Amino acid sequence: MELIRLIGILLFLMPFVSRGQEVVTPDTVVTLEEVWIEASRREELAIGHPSHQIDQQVMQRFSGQQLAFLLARHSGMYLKSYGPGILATTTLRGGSAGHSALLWNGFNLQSPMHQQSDLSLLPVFFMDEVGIQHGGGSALWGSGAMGGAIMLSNKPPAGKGFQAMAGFNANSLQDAGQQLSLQYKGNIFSSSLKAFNRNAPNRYHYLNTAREDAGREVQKHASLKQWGLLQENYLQIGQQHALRLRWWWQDNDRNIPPALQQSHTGAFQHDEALRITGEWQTNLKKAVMLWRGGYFREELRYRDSINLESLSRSNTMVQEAEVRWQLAPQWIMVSGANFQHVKAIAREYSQQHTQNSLALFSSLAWQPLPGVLKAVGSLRQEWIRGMNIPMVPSVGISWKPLASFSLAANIGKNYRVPSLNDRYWIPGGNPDLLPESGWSQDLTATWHPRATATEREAPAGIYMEKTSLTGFHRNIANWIIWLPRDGGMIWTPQNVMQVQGYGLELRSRGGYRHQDFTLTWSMTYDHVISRNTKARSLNDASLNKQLIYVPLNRGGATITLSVKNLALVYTHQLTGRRYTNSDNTRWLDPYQTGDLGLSWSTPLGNNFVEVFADVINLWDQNYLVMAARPMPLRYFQAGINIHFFKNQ
Amino acid sequence: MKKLSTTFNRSINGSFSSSPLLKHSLKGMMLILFAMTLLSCEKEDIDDDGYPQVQQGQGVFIMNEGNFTQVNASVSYYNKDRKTSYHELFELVNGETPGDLLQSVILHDDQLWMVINNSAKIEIMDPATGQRTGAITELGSPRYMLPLQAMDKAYVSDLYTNQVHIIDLTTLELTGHIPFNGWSEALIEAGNKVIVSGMTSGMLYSIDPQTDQITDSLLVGDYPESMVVDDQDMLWVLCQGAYPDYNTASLVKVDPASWEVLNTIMLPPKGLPWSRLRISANSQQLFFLGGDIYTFDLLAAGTTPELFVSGEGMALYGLGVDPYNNDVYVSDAIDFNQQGRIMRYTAAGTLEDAFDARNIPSGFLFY
Repeated sequence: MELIRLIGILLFLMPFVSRGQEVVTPDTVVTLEEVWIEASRREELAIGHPSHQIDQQVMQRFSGQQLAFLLARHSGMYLKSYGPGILATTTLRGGSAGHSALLWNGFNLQSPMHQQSDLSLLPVFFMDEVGIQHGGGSALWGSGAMGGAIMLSNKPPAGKGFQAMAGFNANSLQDAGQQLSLQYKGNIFSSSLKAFNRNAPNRYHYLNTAREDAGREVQKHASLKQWGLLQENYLQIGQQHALRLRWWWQDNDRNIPPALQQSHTGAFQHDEALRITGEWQTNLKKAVMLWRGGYFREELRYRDSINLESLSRSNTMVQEAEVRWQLAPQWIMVSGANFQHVKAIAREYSQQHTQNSLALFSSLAWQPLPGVLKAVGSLRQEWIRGMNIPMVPSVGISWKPLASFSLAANIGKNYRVPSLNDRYWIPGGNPDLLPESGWSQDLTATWHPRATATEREAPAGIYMEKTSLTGFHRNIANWIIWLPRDGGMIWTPQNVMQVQGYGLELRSRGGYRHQDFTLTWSMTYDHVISRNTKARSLNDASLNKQLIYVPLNRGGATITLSVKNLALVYTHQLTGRRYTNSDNTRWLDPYQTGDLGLSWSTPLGNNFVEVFADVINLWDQNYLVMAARPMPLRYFQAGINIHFFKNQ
Repeated sequence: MKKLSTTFNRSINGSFSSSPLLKHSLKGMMLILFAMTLLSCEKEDIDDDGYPQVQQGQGVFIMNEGNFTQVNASVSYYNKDRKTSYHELFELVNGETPGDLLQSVILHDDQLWMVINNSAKIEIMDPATGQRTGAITELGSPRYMLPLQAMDKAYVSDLYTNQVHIIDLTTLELTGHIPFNGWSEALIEAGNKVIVSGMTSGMLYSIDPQTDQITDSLLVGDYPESMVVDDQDMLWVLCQGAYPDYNTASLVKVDPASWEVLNTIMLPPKGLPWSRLRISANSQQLFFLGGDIYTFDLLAAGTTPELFVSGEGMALYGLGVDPYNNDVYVSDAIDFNQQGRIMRYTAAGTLEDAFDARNIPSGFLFY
């Protein structure tokens, strides 16, 4: 074990040691955008882990919404949502909410206190790209990327000069939102300011199935008020240096509705976040060096109608250095170090807690046949005082034997350190928790017969653009679960859960080409088995049972019909049974939902206007994503985006 | 008959003696037929709607709390002789669950009065049919109720709203409240007094039922969670102990008439809260939970609590003592997220039966 660590450290130091060799510089055109090696370009190293982007058009039409709304419908992922605007967390590959890293331009936004990310607090408007990476990525991203990662990224403004965009949206739940963006794109300097505001009473209709008559009721206590600012600056200094600065401020207030038959009027929660990041890149002849720093401050205040009050605050400082070095024509090495300093306080902590972590990571990419065969090996070692964190390796291979077919595979180890709440919460916190860890294996086959729908030489008719089928398997040990101590009434987190997960993920898209219209379709299907492989107490009947809130089957499809500047979109989702009892004796029924939308776009002088209208839950289905938390019945929404000074 | 027997015997085996076998065979057949009728009678231990046959002295109703906010509280019934259990009875008959978090139950007026904490109500169920016969709503955060003798009213303790509710048992209405310092929990009548325990203050309070006023208070210990009265009219109070160690847990003997603490027995330090003080019908033993099941001998003087049954590897949550035969019932809530398991022990501590109930079983009502 120590030898492996020594090798890892040596690998890390290599780029700094050998400098005098002759190297062929990477063959890229130097522009402001491409000078940058996006932190998310570390994705290039994530060979063998399928990654899927959310379509840009979809992001445009739902730019007034939260990430939870977008991902629930267009990612294939089952989102544990308590209702619109209320807590929504991920379950990638049957993992817990802390098992998906949330990476914003490469910075992990998971709260160090609870290691979850509430996707209802992330506005789609602030993201230029949203992608989901399936499969553990701890070797690249560190703790928490066990089931996968959600990648959010911002890009420098496109176009030239000044641009602005204003958006408005409203719906039949009495919600209204406004977005505004101002951008300047220059030769060496670009900047953008985005602001959004949302006032959402969320007065949705639902069926109260706890009553015998299952009466139709209106939710009166689910309002959400939020606003935020995102300011980005991009500066190129000389030929070799570039700088990026971003800061993001957001304020959210919401009323949390009671569950069905709960008597109290509900709770109130205030969340605020400040996120500041800076990146400096230097291009040398043989290498690219990247310095990144981030400061994240979050505060959560919760108050119950019976006057229970809870306040949590965390400050995180991240510093990262990375070197990307072209060793030889076929070899690239990426090495770096990451240092994190976290300070957190909560009413339920006995004192303020500090956690420092240092991680060293290194990847070696070998491309013997560019575009055909590529292999990447990665290693990461993190140190936190008082914790024994495993070294995590990962090996991935991608092979494209035919122009229209490729294979990718990955084997890797992943881990997640216990959260500060797991360790220090009173009552129950367990400072001696071990990190969760386990090995995972992925194999993906992809068919990509045609590039895009706009290929003119392609014949008319139906075509399949890309289909990928992934099989995965993973074993996770020391999964942390809060349980009552033997015989006691006090709940403490313990490393007693052992989970085996495996399944299939299918993604496909294509279309139909006709001279008068275009039709595109995309579909997702996930079959996930995630089961408990260790009994935790004498009478525990959850052995070999599916974990709660992990549907065995989930599928969805979207069809878009575009005629000139009009588009009609229909999205359908099927979600299978989800167990609410760990012994699988209680569950929520499967459900299907459909959304229908219409969009129209037109130039208006120098400007460009898009108008959207949607029917959400077209079939007026009553369904539950979480027990006793009914989801909204059918409602309508509409919006308009005006792009100033932008023609087409 | 004889002809038949001869034919029968010949068709099988000439060595049989004729009539005795047939007589036995026919008797056998009649017996079988009779047994079959009995068996079909066995199936009639449930009514047409699926509700079990309930007769006094034959079984125990089990209250399953359900998961907080999931509205899955339920009522189970266990027939002691047949050793069979039936579940979700309230929902079966009434079409909906009792509510969110079934905290406690008492038998009053031959009806089951169930206090549903997170639904702020009391549901009244007929034990013979499972029918809901009434409800009292808007009760804040109710925990336990105590009907007052011959007064047609009851007090209901409360967790969050700083009061003890007063309800009218005939009109089923909330008629008033008694302002209370914090969390009120256990209620009992003893020594001609109505006594309520205050968890926040660690005190017992005496209430005058005529005026609904608190007239006296007595400091007993940290978090007095449950109380019983013995046949000497002495009051026993189980104090849970204080977070985080619960090392101040104690069993306290109080004389309710003279309103003084007679004896405080400290309980072994186990680092977890103690709960569910119960008394055997013959008033000879106390039972309570502290990770394991403990018993305390009321007859012998100067004794200490003893281990009755070990709870190792289990999360023991509810406890009940059968007044008919002194069996001890305990529930294992396991991980609080699956069906709980009920274990039935004899008075000697041997396991008699075990079966699954529903989520988080906590209350036992012997009927």
